[in-house]
Amino acid sequence: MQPKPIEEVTVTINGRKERLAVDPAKRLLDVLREDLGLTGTKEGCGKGECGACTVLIDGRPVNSCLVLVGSVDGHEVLTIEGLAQPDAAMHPVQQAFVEQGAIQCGFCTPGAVLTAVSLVDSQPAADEEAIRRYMAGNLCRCTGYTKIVSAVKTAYEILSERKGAGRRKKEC
Amino acid sequence: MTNKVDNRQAAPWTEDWNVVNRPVEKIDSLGLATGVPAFTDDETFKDMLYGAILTSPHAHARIRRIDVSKAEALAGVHAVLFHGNVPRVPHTTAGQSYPEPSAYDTFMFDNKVRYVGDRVAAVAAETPERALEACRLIEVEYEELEPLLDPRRAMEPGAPVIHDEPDATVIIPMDYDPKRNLAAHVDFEIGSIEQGLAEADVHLEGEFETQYAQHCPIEPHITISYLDERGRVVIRTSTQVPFHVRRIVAACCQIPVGRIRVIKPRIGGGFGVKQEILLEDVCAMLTLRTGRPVKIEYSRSEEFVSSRTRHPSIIQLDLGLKRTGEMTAIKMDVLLNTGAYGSHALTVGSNCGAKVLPLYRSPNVAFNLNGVYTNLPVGGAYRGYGATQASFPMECLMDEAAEALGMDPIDLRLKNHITTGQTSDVFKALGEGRPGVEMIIGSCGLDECLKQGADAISWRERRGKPGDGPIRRGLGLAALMQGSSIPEIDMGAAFIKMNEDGSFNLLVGATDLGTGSDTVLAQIAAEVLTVDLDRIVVKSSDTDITPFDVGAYASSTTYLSGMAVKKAAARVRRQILEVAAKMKNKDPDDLSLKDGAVVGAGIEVPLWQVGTHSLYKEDQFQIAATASHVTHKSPPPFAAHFAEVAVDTETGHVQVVRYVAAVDCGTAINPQLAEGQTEGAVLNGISYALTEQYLFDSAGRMKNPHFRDYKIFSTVDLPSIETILVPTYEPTGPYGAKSVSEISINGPAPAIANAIYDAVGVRLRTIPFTPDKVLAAIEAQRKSHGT
Amino acid sequence: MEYYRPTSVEDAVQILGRSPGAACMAGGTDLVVAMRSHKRGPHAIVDLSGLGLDTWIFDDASNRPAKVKTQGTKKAGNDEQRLGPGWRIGATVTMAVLKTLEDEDNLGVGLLADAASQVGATQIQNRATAGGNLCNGSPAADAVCAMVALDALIEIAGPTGAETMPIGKFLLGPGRVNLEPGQFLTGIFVPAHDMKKSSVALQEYRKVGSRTSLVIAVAGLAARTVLDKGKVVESRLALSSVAPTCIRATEAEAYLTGGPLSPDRIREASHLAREEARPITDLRATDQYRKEMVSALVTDHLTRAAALAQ
Repeated sequence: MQPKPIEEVTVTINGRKERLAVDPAKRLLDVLREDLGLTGTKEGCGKGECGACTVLIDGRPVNSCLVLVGSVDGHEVLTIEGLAQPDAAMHPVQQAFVEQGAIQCGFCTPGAVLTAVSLVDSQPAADEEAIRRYMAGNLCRCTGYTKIVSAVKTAYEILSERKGAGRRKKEC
Repeated sequence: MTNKVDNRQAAPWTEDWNVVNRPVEKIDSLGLATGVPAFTDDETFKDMLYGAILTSPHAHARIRRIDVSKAEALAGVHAVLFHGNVPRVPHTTAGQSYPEPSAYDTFMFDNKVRYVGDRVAAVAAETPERALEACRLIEVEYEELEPLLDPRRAMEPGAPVIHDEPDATVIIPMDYDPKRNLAAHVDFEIGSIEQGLAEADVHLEGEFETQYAQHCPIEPHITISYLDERGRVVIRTSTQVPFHVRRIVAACCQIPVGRIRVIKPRIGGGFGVKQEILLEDVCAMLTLRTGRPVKIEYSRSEEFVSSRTRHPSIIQLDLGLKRTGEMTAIKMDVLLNTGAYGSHALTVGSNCGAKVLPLYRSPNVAFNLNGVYTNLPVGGAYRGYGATQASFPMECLMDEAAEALGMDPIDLRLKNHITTGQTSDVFKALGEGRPGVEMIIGSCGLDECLKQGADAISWRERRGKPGDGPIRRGLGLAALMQGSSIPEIDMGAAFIKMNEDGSFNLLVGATDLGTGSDTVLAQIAAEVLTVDLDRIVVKSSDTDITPFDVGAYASSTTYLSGMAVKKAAARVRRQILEVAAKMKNKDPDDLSLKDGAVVGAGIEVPLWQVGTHSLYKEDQFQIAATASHVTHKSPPPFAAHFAEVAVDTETGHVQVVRYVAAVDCGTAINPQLAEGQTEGAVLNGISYALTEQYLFDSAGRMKNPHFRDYKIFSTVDLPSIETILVPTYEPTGPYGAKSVSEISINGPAPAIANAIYDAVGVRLRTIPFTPDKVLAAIEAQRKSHGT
Repeated sequence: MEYYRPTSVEDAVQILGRSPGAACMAGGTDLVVAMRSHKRGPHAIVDLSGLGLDTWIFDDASNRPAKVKTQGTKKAGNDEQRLGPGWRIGATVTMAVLKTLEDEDNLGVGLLADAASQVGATQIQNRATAGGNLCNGSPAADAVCAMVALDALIEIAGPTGAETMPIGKFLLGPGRVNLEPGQFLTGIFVPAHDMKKSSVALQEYRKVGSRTSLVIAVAGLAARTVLDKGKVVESRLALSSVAPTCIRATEAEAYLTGGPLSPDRIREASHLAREEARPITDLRATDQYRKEMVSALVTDHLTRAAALAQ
């Protein structure tokens, strides 16, 4: 049997399985923004150099402007819209970004938040240098990064508080 | 955190503020953190067309023939614009107050192209790909002309004339001579430079160069225009100047201002580049021609090549000083390269003097500016606005002067800097397209900035100790001033109305470009009206709804628009007191607002009762007020910046290891946002000082229009920036506030240059300090020392 | 445009045989950019991410009669040698995975991990692959430089069957690699470079760019220096961004091998490496600056290797 070109793509986006009848060579970024109306993912350069289009594929941050949607067939994509809990509670990273003043114009924020989420999810702790290394693909021209780095530190604190609170609850 | 100091002026500091001077959360940050649709491109429009712009491949050429018929014939193409089918309206793209002090040398399309990236034609089509395809089908026959790529040659006899069109003009009295490629000229002399230099014991001089740089907002320019139900043009655009957009588009498209509505959604950064009308006129014209929504956006490379840049400069500076450190002469000669169009040339050039020369007292001061055309990308407004270019030579030469005099650079500045109660003749001599406005400094915390910054970075302990390994360390500093709005030119207005639940709508023309000005202005209103911040509902920057404001530039929003808000809020407060007085049969003069209620004379009426009463009960009327504000001063914020660098003597790589910015912005209405402004400006300044530059080929084509080779700093390139806010009280600002957003971009280049000198003993006079340049300087010095 | 996502190497070979102009895609980080800027306009894409080539194993070679066939030379097909133990790395293994390759015994692969950790930012490391890095043919490719240092072997599939070739034969020049039409890269083999218990090794990738990191190298050095009893017993110096491909500084290596790392010898080796570099001037740096950086990188590496041996 001759292998055939694929014509539709099945992707889990923000927890929902989507069967997309789109050109598999379309960029994931465009599919998200144009076909699914998920405009929280931004385009800043179109060349994988600024990180504004960052989404998580299977929990790992990638530049969605460099990903053709055909290549995520069968994978899980998380965008900023899927991050906050269904009860509208913010993710600790979002909460920390707001509290620490890490958001100025906000255009790079969804991407930076998602990268930070993958960091706090994948590494139990990170010092300033590790945070700066991990976040280096998310350019921001407004903040000078100082408050973004503080926000990631704060997110770790919020998470450990929540864990502590969780443990206390269990003990009770 | 904010450090309170004791040298503040007495009375106002005793006020007990509840909302102002507090780090409240930015009111739009929750939405931005969760990615709700907020930006220009986050909304979709039915039947929208996509615009694309064909640009020039040549630096200088005349369009001999242009044939758009194939493009027009392409299926899915709805309109093609070029110089032959649009009105020819000379204008400036600079979004400045009318009459603009920039040359009217730009046309929507012209039969001449003046730089690589200049507009040739525009297309609206069903898809972006189709629009690009149509652009490729436009046949253009160019007659190439000799390009002028060296600003030093611009005014030489025989140089190519870039603006030879007869209708290029200026609309204010200013020196403009396009036949000599002179886009702007200003000069003055206070006292006598000759005498000042003759009296000097030490004469320092040098020529310094600053480079092309781009603002790099992460959101490039984007505009969507459409017709509303009454056939008016609505322009949804990423701009800092919605009201100037409306006026300039009206002129270019030859329709009345009243037929245009400009909406500014959230915008993804501006830094000055969105103080320019770049896409709006073409987009609106395409909508007018097709009747359909049209979107045009710049790609990142178009953003680099075809939008606006920081004007490069060549500055010759002379300083004369007495042995005691007293200054006797300052002479600054600026050659400003404005590129192909004169956008902001006069004012950026003037600000090289106006925002730098008054910092130090000298009886003799001279200034000369020539802003010249070249066939290179166009200069424009960029955070710092001339002060960035001129602070570099001034602060470097001050460092050299201190060394020549055997003084600590801090002491030399403490001895000479302008301070509270003093004035400078420069304020009067240099305005923005007209003479300036005399001003006595009402607040200055520079002494304190220098002292606290020096302590924070351990100046006295760590300076002059480079070490002896391959990596050398050094410390450097820069002192800075800027302004707060343009006196007697800028106007901001605010409108406040009260609702029956005691909440308020605050409508401002002021433009939040990510700075948090919506939050800051709401804080001011909340403070006056004694309510929590969430009781103030802000709507900004919609020309149909909000009152006028010149827009977000010239460090004006907090200081100028903030005062308009404060005045409007005070008027609303008065109406509230009057209604409450009537309700309770009291004298309004005995009443005041406290914690969201009218109190005094033994009564306490919550605001919701006042609001409900005024709208529903008796003598009904809308409690509301509008106020406008114009200033007669531009009070400078001051700052002292300290950099510590590590210079790798084998690679020439310069790493900033610590950076302290001590800033006097008067009262920080929101200290967290003020820190954020400072940190962002410093980062941009460091990136500009160390790496950012345009590289051109011999035909004037930019070789690095992408983030891969136009490197802007990321998280790994520097440590956390330490900000110290030094409070002072500016009597003419709202709650004592001055500006904060621009000043701190000016410090890094000179502070780092001085730190490099401290580390390795070489003086760099050309930005950026790239590794190859630093290494070459170190090696040249090794050779000259014979080691 | 047709988009194929084959699930077996055989299917991929078949598709490529049918559509010679098709572009192979692994992570897509370079191809998508090239397509957007109209530098490449393939009529079909063959997405290799479904082939299961995204894993690596350590192969101890205990029962494997592997062969190396070199091509492009007169004695193509005759040049056979036995492979020892090493790492078999699939073509679509990402940089993020490569950088986790641990090398506690300094057998060489740690150098590849070090280089992979310096390829772009987090987002790029999660998509960019070993195979993609190679097939781009960029002389600035960090991971490729490490592979060159380690004498990696390139595994290729195609209409005429599978073959393996030394990396030096695979890299032809900027943007050019030794793949015939219909062929594609399936993996690399990084041999384990064993050393005595008494030896000490310094293996690392260092690069110089316009900034500290996240830059394209102006010059890079993938180096492995093994010392035993004060003498260099193994010297591997591979350079990026200073020649049409990543190259070995063979003269410097030969000079160093067998001798101690005295300051004089370090200076001479750095000089030799500098002379072996054949850089060009482009927008990132001048040829002169690049040469100086080769010398600085080699000096720095050898100086620290010498210190390690003390």
